[in-house]
Amino acid sequence: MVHGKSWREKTFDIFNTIIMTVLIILSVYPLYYALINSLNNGQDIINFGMVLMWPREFTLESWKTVLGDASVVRAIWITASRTAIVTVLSTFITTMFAYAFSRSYLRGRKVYAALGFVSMYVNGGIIAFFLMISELGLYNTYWVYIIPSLFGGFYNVIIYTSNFKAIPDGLLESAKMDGASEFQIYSRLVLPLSKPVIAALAIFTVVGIWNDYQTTLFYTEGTTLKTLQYYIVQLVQSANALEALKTSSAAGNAEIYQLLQETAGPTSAKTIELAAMLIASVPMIIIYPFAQKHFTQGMMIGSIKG
Amino acid sequence: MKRKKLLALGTVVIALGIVAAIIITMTSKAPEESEKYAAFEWFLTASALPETWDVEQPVFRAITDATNCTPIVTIPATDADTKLNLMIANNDLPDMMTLTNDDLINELIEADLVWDLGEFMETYLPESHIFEDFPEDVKNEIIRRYGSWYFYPSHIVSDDAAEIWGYPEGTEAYYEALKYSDQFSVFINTAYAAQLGVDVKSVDTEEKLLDLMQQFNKAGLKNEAGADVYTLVIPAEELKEMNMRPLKYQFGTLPYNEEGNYRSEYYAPQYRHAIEFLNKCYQLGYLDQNIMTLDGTSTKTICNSGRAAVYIGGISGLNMGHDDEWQTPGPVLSSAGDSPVFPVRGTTGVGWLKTFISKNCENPEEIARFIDYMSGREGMIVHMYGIEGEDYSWDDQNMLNRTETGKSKVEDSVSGMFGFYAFHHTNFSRSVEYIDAANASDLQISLGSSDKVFRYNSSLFDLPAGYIEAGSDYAFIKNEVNNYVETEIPKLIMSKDEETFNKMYDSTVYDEYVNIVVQEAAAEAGIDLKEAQPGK
Amino acid sequence: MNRRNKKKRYEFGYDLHTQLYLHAMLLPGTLLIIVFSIIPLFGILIAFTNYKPAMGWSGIFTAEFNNFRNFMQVFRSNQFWPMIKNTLGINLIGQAVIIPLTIVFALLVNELTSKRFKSVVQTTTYMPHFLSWAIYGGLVVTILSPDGGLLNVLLQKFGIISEPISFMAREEYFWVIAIISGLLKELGWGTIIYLAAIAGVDPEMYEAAAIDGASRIRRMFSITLPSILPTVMIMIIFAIAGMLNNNFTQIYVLQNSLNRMASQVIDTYVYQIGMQQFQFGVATAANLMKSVFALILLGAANFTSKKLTNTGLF
Repeated sequence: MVHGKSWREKTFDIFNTIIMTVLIILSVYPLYYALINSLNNGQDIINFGMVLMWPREFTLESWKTVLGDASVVRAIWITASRTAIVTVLSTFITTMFAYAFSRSYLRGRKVYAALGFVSMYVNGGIIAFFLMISELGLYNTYWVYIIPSLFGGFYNVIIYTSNFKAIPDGLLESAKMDGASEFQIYSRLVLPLSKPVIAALAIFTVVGIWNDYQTTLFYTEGTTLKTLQYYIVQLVQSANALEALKTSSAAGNAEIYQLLQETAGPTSAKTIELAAMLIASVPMIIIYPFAQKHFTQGMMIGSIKG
Repeated sequence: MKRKKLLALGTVVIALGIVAAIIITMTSKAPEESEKYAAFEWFLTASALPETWDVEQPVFRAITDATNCTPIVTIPATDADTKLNLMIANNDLPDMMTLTNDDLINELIEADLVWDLGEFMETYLPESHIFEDFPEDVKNEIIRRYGSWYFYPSHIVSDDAAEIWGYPEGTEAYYEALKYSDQFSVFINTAYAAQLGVDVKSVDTEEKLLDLMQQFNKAGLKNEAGADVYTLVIPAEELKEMNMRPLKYQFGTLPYNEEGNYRSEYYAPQYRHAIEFLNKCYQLGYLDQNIMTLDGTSTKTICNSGRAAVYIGGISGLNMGHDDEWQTPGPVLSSAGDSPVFPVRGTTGVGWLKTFISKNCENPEEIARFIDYMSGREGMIVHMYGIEGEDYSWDDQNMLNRTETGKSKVEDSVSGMFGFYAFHHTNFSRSVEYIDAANASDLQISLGSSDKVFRYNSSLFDLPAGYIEAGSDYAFIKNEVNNYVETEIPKLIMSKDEETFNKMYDSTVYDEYVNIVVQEAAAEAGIDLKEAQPGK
Repeated sequence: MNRRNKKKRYEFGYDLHTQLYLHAMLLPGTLLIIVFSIIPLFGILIAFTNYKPAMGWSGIFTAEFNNFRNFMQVFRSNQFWPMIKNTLGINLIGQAVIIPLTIVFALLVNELTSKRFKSVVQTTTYMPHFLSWAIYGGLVVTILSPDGGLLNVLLQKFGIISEPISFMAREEYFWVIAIISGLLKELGWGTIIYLAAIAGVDPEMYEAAAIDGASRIRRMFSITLPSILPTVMIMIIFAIAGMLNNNFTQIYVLQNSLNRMASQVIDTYVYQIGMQQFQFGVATAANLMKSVFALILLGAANFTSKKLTNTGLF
């Protein structure tokens, strides 16, 4: 039974709350900054710099540009399905791997460890990887988004392993005694007990896949299989290219210069980039609280750690 | 119970995903429907073209009707050159490629992966107009620099092309002067100069410029919003290129010494003088340390919000719509007495975008027809100006005028209008569009046409493309020197006093390699660097 | 007692049946590793040759050996030593600051009593992670500007300085700027892994300690910290192995011509020569060297960790 709080505990609480509040402000402001600038007229920003508190010239043009294209829907669909599939499957494959790896009685453990660490730190370069993808017939297909990502990376294996090792052997032994196979121990005991860490790494996976655009860039033609992030990068790049053209044409081509001057709109490469970045982050920001629930305390049943 | 829920959820997710995958793989076969037209792959590293070739749009439809082609356009979002390299490694080149990077181009040429354009057209479309109206001087330049006529250049502008297409009445002088123009110079803010009662055009020597800056400094100017005005602003991001360029030319830096041997500009006393000038500005407080840390965007912002009195750099550092705020005094004479110089291309340029045809292309006849159309008069009008009546009209002087609809379609990323940069032809557009020479931006600084200026033939100092091979020792040293200079110049500019400056400059070491290489190249080509100058 | 258990465990699990099961569970992952990470390792050959993509993929094996020239290119640069110094400096000092602070933050978050406030804190502090460095870096530069930037304004208001300081112009400030901006951006996100570890601690232990009269702070130090020690050690080992890697975008955005001597790191240099000249060979060589170092550091860190705290990666 916890007694009433001492004054020392109370000051600690106040102190803690203050620190947290400061951190909240420091964390939210940058996002707010991005938001107000994305809602501001792009030409105005070029002339007067970024806004700090409130938009100087409000406009929804940048957001409209990003969301207006029909292909954005398809891109979202591809990204969402890809993220869901890969997260579920890779969590399954990686935890299974990690479970077996964590068993001290596994023979040949060192071999797997060597393979794993080499795969983590040594890299054959983009050309070799590309050739591999091409040989497997994955180039420019939907599967290139799934298959290479199915293994979550040895980094995740290490973290899972350390968590699995912490589960008391006694628990597992008694299950074995009752006739459970390794797989059943894994699926019925170990997985449920590791919910927090699985939730954490699942979030990392989701964010990683969601933000990836290099797969689309190098391993597809980049036209029919665009992911959301790639679509955004493309949008920003072409806005940048257009601006570069506007400024460089000023010197060489008076005609183009005049023409583009007349057609300049209320967006700029910067505002489009900001709008796009926010749109891409929104789903992540929404999903996070759901995973966060799993970080709550103690799901361990039973014995105290010996 | 909970586990069952999770399991159900998981199954639904996977099922959804599989359905998605199926739909996607099926629908990505869309291009098949254009089977009655020939489709070839067109890879671009830079463009404003929409990616889907929408035959519903008039511009696209016109092109397809005339050529029977529907190109499959690929414009990678970023790192296009790397992507092309991957395709090269995989022996899977796109049929037509529009590139800008010289290293990449050399790779393709060296590995013999691209057609000579002349040979290609002769084989597949011998009656093409390209043999008549492609300017000889450009062709020769391409051959000189790349070994053969490997590509179709964009934004063709040359003397021969001007002869072929002609100029509208009264604009010839303007375009001639444009040849001698450069987008880099000293710019002075008209409003602030007027405030001090100074005529910008009169500030034509170094002393007068320093004097003016002193006046600005003392005047304590503020812009409309009440913020402080910086006396001197320079683009610190690309000091070597953007900022030193106008100064080094105005102060007379030549790439060769008195004996006619090539000498790296860093060794020229005039270049040193240019840096000394900036150092002086810094010591006298005209150049603020903060300016040296800004990137291009911030510099632009400062200039555009009226917070700069004097700007030395390129027009691209200012923004459109603000031209009338600035004026250039013309060449500023160095206090050391050297006359300003201006690099003139004795030969012609080879365009910005270069379009190549891969030797393994699958529909050569169609590609030939496409190139023929896009580079000919009819095609150029369609892809640059649109449909007659709707997007433009001819006036009674045979000049083309865009309509409002036409103007709004430019670069709208849907109609394709004006998006085919690879086939933009500068001389052609000049011949059909009337430009009011009087209204044209004063910022087209015609530095080179002033008779105070010594014009020199800069193309003599161009190495043939690929002479310095990527990855060679030369290339490495060149890179090192560039990096070194980028770091050293700011330090030199910000030295505290003359003594420190001198000490630093004297100990700054630049590699001799460039001297050797260019002299070698000139010797090989049999050119005497000093003699072959157009002079005054 | 121990010896009896040990004997039991020796027999337990080493039987063929269990082994087969285990290896079957390892199979999918192993296949994926081999296909996508091990086999492509042949690409390392590029580091040793004059390979050009035009040689196709067979060229990787047939291109001529170039006497380690690609490796030499990395060392030859006059930026080599500054670059190593900057990389190690930013990482060592950075991690020495960031890891403890992240742990402290995780502990503090765990101690929040109001569930809703805790939820708000968690949901907001990880937001900067989603901003790209291009944006976040721009914000940093704006705030540090001597020309009306927030930090200078505040410092002057409180009388700490009289003249604005041009932070981005000075080499000596760069490391600090890089470290602190990195900290603020990733602090919330970095706690995820620690919070997950803390969540795994048995609540009964807390109750037992509370009954014995331990205060909350005491409990934090004697129970929570030691319980998450294995996770902490793992993160430290990874940080050490990653000593030569930086966040490229962050450095790129914060770099300018004045602070270059303090801001050029291995990753930015490799990008310059690798991307700007398609020097795949040099870029591969640099990466290979980094990999080798990382593995060596990994081994050393793991060994030390096992000696000191009895936990390690393997």
